[in-house]
Formats: sequence, structure tokens, C-alpha cells
Amino acid sequence: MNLWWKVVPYLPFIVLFMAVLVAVYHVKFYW
Amino acid sequence: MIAREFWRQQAPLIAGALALGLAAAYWQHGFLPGAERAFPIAEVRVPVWHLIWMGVWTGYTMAVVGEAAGIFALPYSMSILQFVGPSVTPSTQLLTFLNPFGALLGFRRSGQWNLKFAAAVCVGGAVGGLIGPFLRAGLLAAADVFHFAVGIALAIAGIHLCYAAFHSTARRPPVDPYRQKVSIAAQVYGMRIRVSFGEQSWDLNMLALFGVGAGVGMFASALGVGGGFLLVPIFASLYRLPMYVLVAATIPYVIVLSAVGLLTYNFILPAFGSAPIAPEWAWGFFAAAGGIFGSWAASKTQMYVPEHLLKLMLGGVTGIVGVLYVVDFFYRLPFRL
Repeated sequence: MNLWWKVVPYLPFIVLFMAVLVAVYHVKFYW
Repeated sequence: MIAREFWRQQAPLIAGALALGLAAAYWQHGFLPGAERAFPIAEVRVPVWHLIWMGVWTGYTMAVVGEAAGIFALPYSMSILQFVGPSVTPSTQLLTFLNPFGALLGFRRSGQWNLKFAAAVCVGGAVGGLIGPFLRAGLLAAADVFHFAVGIALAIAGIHLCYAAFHSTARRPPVDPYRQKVSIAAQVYGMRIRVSFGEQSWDLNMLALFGVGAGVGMFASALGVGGGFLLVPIFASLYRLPMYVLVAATIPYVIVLSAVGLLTYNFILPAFGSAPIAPEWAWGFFAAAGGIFGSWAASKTQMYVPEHLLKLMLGGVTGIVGVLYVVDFFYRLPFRL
């Protein structure tokens, strides 16, 4: 639980990083 | 506590949007498009989980900084997923229609709700939502002109986010609305309306609210976004309304504008002799399922994230993408946008 609340401030940056990874994956395999 | 709220309030909405996505796919195409078979209207292959993910990340990151998912989901659909046809507009509009319902319920519970205050700008939004789709079908029909218009909108949103990183308006009221039983009140005097929250009050001209709603609505529904990217900075900078008051007008506004826009794209355009611009319904529903979860997650974690840095980062990215779209209109860039 404590670890979860420590991660929360970084969550938007983690989500954005994952979004970039998924976008790169899509460009590589679906374009 | 949070888990119970999720399962009772959000999970049924998300499940409903997913079920509607499935039903819409079979009703519109007779099969479920995805990674193997392209979405027939969008003409792109994309796994369904990617559409849900697009809703999650755009809904989450934009709700954390007080914006809606549409202004990010639209360029992502166009440039990464390569949904370049005119139907990208109503498909994203479906996302902007469904996304704010969770937030609307939450703000209603906390007293940030007043239909008199929202009425003038919403009626303006409805008028704008009737005109915008005609602009999309005429003036903005060419792909490059549409990209240019989206670029302008992104640049505005980027500048606003960067500006808001340094001059943020108060998000939370000075008093706890739950404990003090304070809510937004509004009294109409002729053409003016006095909006109050606790001891604070603002005097607004309803004709101006209508005009702002119609102008923003026209541009936003022509692109397929909710209009918050223009309405929030206008309310915050011109009227000096704090965020916790202006959401009472902007959230119903986005819902009304998107609903009227969708109606116009599907039924009113053909009634006036233009071809309808049908949305890829399943696309919008799947993205909205993710968007509902993303914006709910943002409302629960917003106060723990470094908003200033995030606004600067998102504002920078949005602004740069907007400028690239505009530059690409005048000088063809060496990469695909």
C-alpha cells in the first residue's frame, strides 16, 4: 500500500512513457 | 473505499461502454474489427485493446491537468493510428460525449452544479454544434486544411497549458463543500447572471456567455473535440472564474455540444443535402470505456501529482505537435503526420 502511494506522483509520467512505447509498437507493426 | 466506489459507480459505466462498442461493431459492420480486420470506416487495423488504452492514457493525463481527452485523442487517432478520413471527427466526438459523465456525477455530489449558470453557454454550444459539422463538411473537408485547423487548436491548447503551469487557478474551494453545505448558486437579473459560491460572487452577461459558447462550439464540433481547451482559458482569464466554479458550466457544455454535434453529423447534414459523416461507433465506445476509467483515476490521484511539471510537459508536446501540423500545411515535412 505504501509503495503504491509512493508511485502515484510518478504515475502520469509512467502512463505517458507507456503511451510512447505503445505508439512506437503500433507504428512498427501496423503502418 | 476507493475500490467500492470504482465497482459501484465506474465499473457499470465502463462495462456499458464496452458492451455498446461490441454491439455497435456487429450492428454497423457485422463483425468485430481490430488487429486482423480493419475498421471499415476508419480503414485502419488497430487492436481493440489499443483503442481502450488510447482512452485510458488520454483521459488520465488530460484530466490530471484539467483538460478533456479529445484534444489529445484526435491527433493521436490521426497521426499514430492513421484514421485520416472525415469520420475521425464524429468518432472522437463520441469519446468527448461519454467521457465527462463520471466527472459530472462527482461534481454534482460536491455542489459544483448549477443549471442556470450552465444554461446560456450550453445553448450557445448547441447552436455551435449545429453549425460546426457544416464547416467540417465544407471548409474543412480537405485533409490538409483539417490538419491545419487541428494544428491551430493544439497550439492554443499547448500555450494555455504552459501558461496555466505558472498561473494556475484555484482547483479546490476555500471551504469544504461537503461539510459546510456550500454549493454554486445563480440569480438572473434581466440579461445578467450573478453566480456565487459561498462568499464569492461573479457578475456575468448571459448574451456574452451564449456568444462564447456558440463560437467555441462551432470550432470544436468542426474538429470533433469538446471545446474545453478554449472555454476553460476564456472563463479563467476573461471572467476570472476559479476552476472549481467553471466546471459547473464547462462539463455540461462539453456533453451538450458533443451530443448536438453527433446528431448533426448523422441526421442534420443529410437533411440539408450534404452527405452524413458517420462515426466509427465501436471506435468511439471502446475509447470512451478507457476514457471513463482514465478520468476517474485522475480524479483520485490528481492532488498527489506534480501538476506544474506535467502541464509544462503536456503543453510543450501539444504545442510542438500543433506547430508541426501548421508548418506541414505550408511546407510538406519529410515525415508522415
